[in-house]
Amino acid sequence: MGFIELHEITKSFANNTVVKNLSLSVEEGKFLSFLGGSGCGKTTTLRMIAGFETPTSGRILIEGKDVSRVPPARRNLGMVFQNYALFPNMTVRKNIAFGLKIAKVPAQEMHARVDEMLALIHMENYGDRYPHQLSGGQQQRVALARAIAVRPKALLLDEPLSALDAKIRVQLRDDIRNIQQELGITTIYVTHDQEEAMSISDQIAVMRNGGIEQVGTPFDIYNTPATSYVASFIGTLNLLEGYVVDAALGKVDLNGTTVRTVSDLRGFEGKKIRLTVRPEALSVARQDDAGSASDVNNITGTAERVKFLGSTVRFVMKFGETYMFMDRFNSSQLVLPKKGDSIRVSFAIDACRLLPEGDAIAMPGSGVSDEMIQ
Amino acid sequence: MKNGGATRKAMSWFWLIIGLLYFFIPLLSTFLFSLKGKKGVLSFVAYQHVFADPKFLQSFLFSLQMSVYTIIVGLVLIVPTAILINLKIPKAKPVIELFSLMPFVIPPVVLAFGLIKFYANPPLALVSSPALLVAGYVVISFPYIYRSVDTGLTSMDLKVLTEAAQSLGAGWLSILFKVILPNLRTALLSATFLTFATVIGELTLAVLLAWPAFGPYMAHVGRDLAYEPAALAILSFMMTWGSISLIQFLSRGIPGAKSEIGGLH
Repeated sequence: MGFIELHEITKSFANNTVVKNLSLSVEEGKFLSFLGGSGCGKTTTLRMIAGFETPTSGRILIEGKDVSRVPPARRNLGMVFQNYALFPNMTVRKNIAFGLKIAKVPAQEMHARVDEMLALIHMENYGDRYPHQLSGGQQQRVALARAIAVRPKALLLDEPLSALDAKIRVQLRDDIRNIQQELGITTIYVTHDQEEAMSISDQIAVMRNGGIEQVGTPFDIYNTPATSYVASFIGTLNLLEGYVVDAALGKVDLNGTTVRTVSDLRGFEGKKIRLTVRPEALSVARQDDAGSASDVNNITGTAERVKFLGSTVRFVMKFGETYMFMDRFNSSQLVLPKKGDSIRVSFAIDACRLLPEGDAIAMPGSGVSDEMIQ
Repeated sequence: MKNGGATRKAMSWFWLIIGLLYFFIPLLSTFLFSLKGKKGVLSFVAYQHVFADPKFLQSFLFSLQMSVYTIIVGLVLIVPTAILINLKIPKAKPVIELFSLMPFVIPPVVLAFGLIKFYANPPLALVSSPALLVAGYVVISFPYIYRSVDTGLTSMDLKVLTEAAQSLGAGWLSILFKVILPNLRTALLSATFLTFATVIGELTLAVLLAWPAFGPYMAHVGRDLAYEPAALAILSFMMTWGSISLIQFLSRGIPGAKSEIGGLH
């Protein structure tokens, strides 16, 4: 049994059903992220766990107890909001002490706990400042300290980093993870940022249209996505259209080049299918490689442009009418192609996965959008 | 480009000076007139007459008392209503805003006759009670109180602060007294002093409900005397400006607070 369990919860606002029949179990001490685009129901689900929304149907259990109708003040869950929500009339110390005062913690213990929290967020010298005298990152640290000062059963964070700039975001997300690990507190985190979710979570629940598409570790979600939507939502994806020429051997014709996949193609004989390959699964084929190796596919495209992404370099190339990405680690030995150069790339047959026709993907039309090519 | 900027700056100063002259010349004229109580010299004799009249103090104290009741009743009624509307029924906000404009649209004389007619007979025979005057004053002060409080609530992000407090275990009373009201201090001060200024100078309701308030006293003095009304006008003006200055002064120490006068920053 999970520490937090959602049993077939549904939430409707008038005629709009935002969360549909959602079930989920979060183990004690784990860090789970709800990841999805706008309007997928992730914040509503979190707000139902917090008690700010009541499920239209279904049950929410915390430590095996049904809390679906329990008011938020009696759930003992810490909450961190997107816009900090610090009390402007109170200093940092008073903000952190607020929940402790409500819980009537003795003064001495309360002061000790506030000091402990200030040390935890590395803001020992900021106790007497008011929220408006702090930066966004500092305010969010205080909000985090305030939420965990009351020693809640679980910590809920609703897009806590989205109002911060990129550098602070990376720093603070590591801090959040470190604090979570240190305290061993069960944490549910809402974000639309896949990199954030991947870097911070033990488990990710990818959400779409009010339901969960897949729950798994970041490694599983990225490498073995359960649905086409998950495959295309997480990371960048090359989508290749072709016709099955030999279902038994997994052979597919892509613009006159035959490639192999380990996906089950039975029933697709002669039919048009879509294959997916991650950009990092592609590499420049060796000159002596004739493409005969049984576990490698080779295709030849035309270089369009090169994008520097810091530690990696993204090659944009055209294969037939399809744009493809290939990611390589940045190094001084890297030979950069010029626009129009012919590039022969290879990828393992098990890196090539079948995307069924008609299955929804996160970016309609193609895994590679026009903006990504620019 | 540089010349254009200089011209714009000169024009801004020009219009500012015109505005200040438009505002201060009548005030200065009234003040100078109030000093001409003694023939041939400028003196404060008109002010001395005003202060020497026992009706001045009586009427002022009566109005002061009524303004305190109005402020208490108004805040007790309107603050929770504004909080409830902002938190639970935001869709009702336009309706309440429309209601808050009613005292500007409906003349006080209509309000007074309505109150007299409705509360003249048992079991609601309240015409002779000052409670009816206070009720009328609350209606007149409604726009000032509601708009001040509403602006204060909007600027503090009420919903999120309430939820943050709830998640920390706070009940409604704790939320109201520890989170909402301290952050509404500027708005409440603004509502209080605007109500005070409105009640102190109010004439129609006090006359029609036959109460010896400060407004009728000023009207009476204005009808019978020459220099004293000018002195009273200046005193009344000073009280209003004193109230506004007090709002500014008292809200100085509030962290992150912006001054709001009648819902305006």
